[in-house]
Amino acid sequence: MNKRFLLAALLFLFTGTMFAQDRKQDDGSIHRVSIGLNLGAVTPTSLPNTIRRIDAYNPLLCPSIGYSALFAAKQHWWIGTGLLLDYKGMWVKDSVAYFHTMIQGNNGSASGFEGSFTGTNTTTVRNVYLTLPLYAQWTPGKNWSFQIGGYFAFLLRPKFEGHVSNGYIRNGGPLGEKVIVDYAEFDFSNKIRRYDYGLHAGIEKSLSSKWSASIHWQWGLCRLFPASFSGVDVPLKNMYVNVSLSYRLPRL
Amino acid sequence: MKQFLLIISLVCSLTSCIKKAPLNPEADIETFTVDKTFLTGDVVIDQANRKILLYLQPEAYKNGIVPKIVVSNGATLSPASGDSLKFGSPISYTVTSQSGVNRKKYDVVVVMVGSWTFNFEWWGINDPNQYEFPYGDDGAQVWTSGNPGIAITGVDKRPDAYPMRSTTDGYLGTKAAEIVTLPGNDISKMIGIKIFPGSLFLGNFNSSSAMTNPPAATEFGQPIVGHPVRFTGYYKYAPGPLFQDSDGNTVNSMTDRCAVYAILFNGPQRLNGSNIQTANTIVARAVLPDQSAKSDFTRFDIPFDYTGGSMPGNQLMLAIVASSSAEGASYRGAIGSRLVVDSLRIIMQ
Repeated sequence: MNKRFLLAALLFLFTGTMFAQDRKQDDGSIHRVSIGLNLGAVTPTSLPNTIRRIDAYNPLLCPSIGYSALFAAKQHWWIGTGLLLDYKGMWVKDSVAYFHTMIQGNNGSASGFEGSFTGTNTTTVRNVYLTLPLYAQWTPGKNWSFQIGGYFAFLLRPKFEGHVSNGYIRNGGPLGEKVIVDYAEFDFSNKIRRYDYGLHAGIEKSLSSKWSASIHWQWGLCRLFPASFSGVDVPLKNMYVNVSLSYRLPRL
Repeated sequence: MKQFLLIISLVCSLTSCIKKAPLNPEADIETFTVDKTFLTGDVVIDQANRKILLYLQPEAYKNGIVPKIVVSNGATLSPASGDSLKFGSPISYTVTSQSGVNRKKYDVVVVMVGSWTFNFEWWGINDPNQYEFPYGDDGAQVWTSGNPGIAITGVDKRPDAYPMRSTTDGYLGTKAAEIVTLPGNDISKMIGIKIFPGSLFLGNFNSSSAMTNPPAATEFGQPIVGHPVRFTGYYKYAPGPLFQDSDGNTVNSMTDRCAVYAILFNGPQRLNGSNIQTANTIVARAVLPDQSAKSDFTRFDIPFDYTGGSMPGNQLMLAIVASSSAEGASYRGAIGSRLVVDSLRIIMQ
């Protein structure tokens, strides 16, 4: 599976390069390839009081590989877009109390568990997106650029799984009978929305004529799970910071 | 370094917004303790049906008891723990959660098995899960099944979605208990349970250990006075077509078998799925020897075998267990196996 993504990534770079090399660049456009890391979490914008403690967190190694194009608009201003293969993930271990969950069976069956969980939750997220950003870039001077815009992303491969442990569930809610849980796994991967969109904001510094470094925020506005899914009863969103290095493709 | 700082700031931004702990919304009676000398069987807190089931010595019933009651953290209880209980009129306890929002009422039921003949004519239904359970012929709620555990996996809320239910296909055309082995559902498969073997037994289902230790959830036995000599009844049985192991693989060489037995043992502590065959408190056994298919109602009459058992004490208990898959406790059996039992009777000396 990973090989296929590597291949896709290489294909991006290749087509990006071709594109960059094919076109006449006297229009002042700039074409670049970038490699970076995504750091962040899928998280509600405000933690509900049922999440009592974050015991441990690991951003995981989430690479981001992409191609970007900047088109001159007017003095100091550019329009930027591109295509990025974005891994967005995290590993988190947290303690929850009376956390409401409803787990529906697959294939539309009516069966499902509904209740509240108190105990330890461990979740691993590693989603792969194909991201299309669109932003305005302001370059007032020689070295610094600022970007603001949005992005749209297609989910290529979902992963949202984990386990609950050392706790108990209550059948139906806080008044239901208590069932002790030592360890139970969950996998909500196939419940994740196939797309995501949000805000894009970035700062970039050019390091040389070819290289530049950037940080940009991808602030998801779309819930990771559709509202109809209540396995995780908080509105999780992708909140990521991308740190990357870009290389400007040479002109022909 | 930059990345490291980012991680730190992210973690901080996450942890810094942890909110104040919610007030406890739970309103359970967690323990209900009565001096063991007053009891014929251990107290059962039936959480699913919100009942306190008491099995009392006649003296305790006449004079009343003073239970010690523990409720959920922060919750309040009315009447209070330590108040004395007099029997004769309905008694209930109300627990109010610390959050104040939730209230749970438990009815106190004194269970006395007056009759050891069970015709399965009267059935109750659990609200909100909609599974059935039979009453004894004297109206006592002494039977249960694996249904309360299966309810937790969120099966459809209708009686025939559960493995144990009533049927009109009974002996002499009346109602009987139908016990079938059903396929597991998506939720049960998440915890490795591929089939729901059907069971019916005298005792209590303790949901709290249903996931961690399913055999311990089936608490077998009800207090009995006297000297049982025979276990009689009617049954019919059709094993399902494909026997499967606990991983769901078909085992062609095996055919499913039913299990019907009665175990007499020294209480007040109940036996459970892990020790019902082996406990050293067992006094006598009456086990149905023929576990194979029976297309018509077949009568059985099995003498209690007291050989090798313990000496009977003064807190005897009796368990009757019926299952559509004899190896159901280890989730081995055939989907579709169907056992019907009717007119079960314990004959005393």
